[in-house]
Amino acid sequence: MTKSKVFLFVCTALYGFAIASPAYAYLDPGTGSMLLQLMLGGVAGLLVIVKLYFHKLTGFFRFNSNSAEIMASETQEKDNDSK
Amino acid sequence: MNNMVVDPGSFRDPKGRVFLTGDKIYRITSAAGKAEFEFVQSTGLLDQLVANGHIVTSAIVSNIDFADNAQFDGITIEHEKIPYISYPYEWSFSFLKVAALLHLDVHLQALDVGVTLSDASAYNVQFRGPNPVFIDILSFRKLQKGEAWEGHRQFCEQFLNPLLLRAKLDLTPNAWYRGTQEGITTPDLNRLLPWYKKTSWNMLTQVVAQSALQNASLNTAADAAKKIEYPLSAYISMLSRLRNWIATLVPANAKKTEWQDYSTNHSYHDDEKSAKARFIADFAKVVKPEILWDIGCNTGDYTKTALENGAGYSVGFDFDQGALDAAYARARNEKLAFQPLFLDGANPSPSQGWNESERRSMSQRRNADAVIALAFIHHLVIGRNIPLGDAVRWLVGMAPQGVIEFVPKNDPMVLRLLALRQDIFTDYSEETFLKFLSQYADIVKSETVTEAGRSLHWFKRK
Repeated sequence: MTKSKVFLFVCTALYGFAIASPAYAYLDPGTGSMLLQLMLGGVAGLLVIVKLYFHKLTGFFRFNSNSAEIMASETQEKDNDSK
Repeated sequence: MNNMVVDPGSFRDPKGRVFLTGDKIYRITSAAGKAEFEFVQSTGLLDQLVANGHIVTSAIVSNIDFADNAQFDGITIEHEKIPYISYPYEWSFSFLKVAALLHLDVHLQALDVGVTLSDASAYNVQFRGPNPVFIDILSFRKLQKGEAWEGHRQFCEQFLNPLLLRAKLDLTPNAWYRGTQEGITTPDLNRLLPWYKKTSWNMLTQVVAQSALQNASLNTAADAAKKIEYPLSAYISMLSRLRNWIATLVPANAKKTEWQDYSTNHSYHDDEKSAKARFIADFAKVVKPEILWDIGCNTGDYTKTALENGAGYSVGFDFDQGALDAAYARARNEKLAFQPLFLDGANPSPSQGWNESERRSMSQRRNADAVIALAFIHHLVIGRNIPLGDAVRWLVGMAPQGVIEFVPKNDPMVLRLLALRQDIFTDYSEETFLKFLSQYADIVKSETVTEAGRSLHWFKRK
């Protein structure tokens, strides 16, 4: 992932989070707390957790191709830095 | 008002700030804060919580002119004054536990009328004697449909996890808590606990699952929170479940009799204790301190004597967690205006936090009219190598009048402190003690109360 992609990802995540929180919120509830509550809160929340861990599981099997990609991009970044 | 100063610890919530004058506490709100306050007030919640002693009293006041209040264009509220502001890192297990229960009770009552709390900061709970009281009325706001508990993580870090540290591992959280100020994170607690202490449903959900989910992607959480409506019944059930669980927590390895049946273990009917009690009673009758500080209060024997003889309120300080829990139980059972807090005399609370002023040091919060330090000074001098003169000056500096007990070297307790170490305290004697005390104060009365030569000295600061 390039730096600009990381920046875009963080911005999107923060933006998404800002929308999710009520207008009055000034406290960061934290990922663990939020997901735990949704999970204990009912079927819909539980499905999110299952989906999340399903993604992680499939991610594990895609490990080789992903890590090759990451390594390639890291090498690229290193090259850029050294210039 | 010119002598109005802003409370340096009240900056986090943009809806208002706290201002202090000599003896008054004001909260000024923004327009948004005003609207919120008015909504909450219209539900009748605040009146109900004041009536059962759960929150501080508040009254809207006008005609108070504040400098630099451009951003606070709402209302001004005057609050009752809390006798002594303390911080969660100065609380024993019992104090933190009742504070946690109060927080949950207040929140549950609020949810009943469509109001919620915007955070779960332990600093929003203070004490009147052993009784907790919620102070931040701007934390109340309208409950949005389908929202989850915003302060859940903070509640765990500032209340639940420090309690679990002591209940599951027999570790006292005070030093750690003072370091972070925000409590103990759930992943940290999870890493410390062995697997067999995490098998209950409560531990699995609140500690293990929350830690694991903390590593999930922020995107997923944000996405889920956006899409899923969190049922109010689940919200209430989580708070109730936590409440029931916390109510059952006790310190690990606490022998029940040791910290609950304190009276049988701490009877003081012998001659020397009654001589001491008489001295303290006379002192309290004459001085009538509104606020007394009892340094090295133990389970509160002499605080009780002082309170029965004219002292209005006692803030006790002790190092021993068992004694503090027993002192709490005594204060609660006997309805004493007694607030026992944790203190390491050689390392009192500093001013710290944002700008080094968010939380005030022990000396900045000094408000005692009188101080008593009984069976204490040898712990500082012999136990911690604090020079005798410095220890005397520190104690005399706490209040204009007081009583200090001097414990001589041949006393069994001092002999114990010296049993395993070299006696390097060549100037530790009553004579030297009195020389220092006379430097800083006039001695009103002295009395020897034990055969070994323990003596009490009533001083009036110069």
